[in-house]
Amino acid sequence: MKNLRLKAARAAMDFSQQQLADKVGVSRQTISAIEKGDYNPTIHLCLDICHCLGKTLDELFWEEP
Amino acid sequence: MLNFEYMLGFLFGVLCALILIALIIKLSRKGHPGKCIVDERQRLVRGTGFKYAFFTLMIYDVILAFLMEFCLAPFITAPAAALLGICLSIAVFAVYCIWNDGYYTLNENPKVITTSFLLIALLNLINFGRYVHEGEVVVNHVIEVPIVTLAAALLLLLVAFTTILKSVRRKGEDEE
Repeated sequence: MKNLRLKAARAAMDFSQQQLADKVGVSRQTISAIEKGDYNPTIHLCLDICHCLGKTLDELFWEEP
Repeated sequence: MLNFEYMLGFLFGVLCALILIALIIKLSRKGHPGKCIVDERQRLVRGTGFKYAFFTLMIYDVILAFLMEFCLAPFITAPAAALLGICLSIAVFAVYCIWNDGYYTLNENPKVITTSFLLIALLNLINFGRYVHEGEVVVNHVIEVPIVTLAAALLLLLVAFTTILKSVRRKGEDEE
């Protein structure tokens, strides 16, 4: 499932995928894969992304059952 | 018997290769030149790539053993067969990883590496041409070790063209 909340939060901070990737220490393709829903990041990377975008895990990654 | 000139030439060749490798690493890595930095997704992709390469080598070995057992005369020397298998499995690993964005580390420049691979492939092809000219590739209907220069050239060309193809494909699916 696509992670549109991550994409929106990134856009709100005016970050490109490459900029966010550089800040959290991954490749741009990894950020792209997370946004497309092709890759499930580890909790460690989720936390890094949340800290970088100033969001909580719930706001970016929680999915209602 | 190896003479002094041969050994000197061999050592000079090894020295040139080491300098070339050091140069490529220096030019192709941004930041920490000595470290390969991969992220968690790339590590997963590489793991799967290693798995496919491992099974490819196993299947190759089974087919080779079958052919060696049932062919009346040996058609390839053992070192050549072993090295061709390694080239084949590396090719599987490389293509899988490039296609899934796991081959090039975070601090590598694919353009520099692709260019170097194309140049090294060309050198290998020239070397293979020399072996063919001197009749060292097939001796008494048996394929000898020099065939590996062709395999290495094809492997490097495959890696370079897969990288180019992937970058062309990526341009279409880049950030929306």
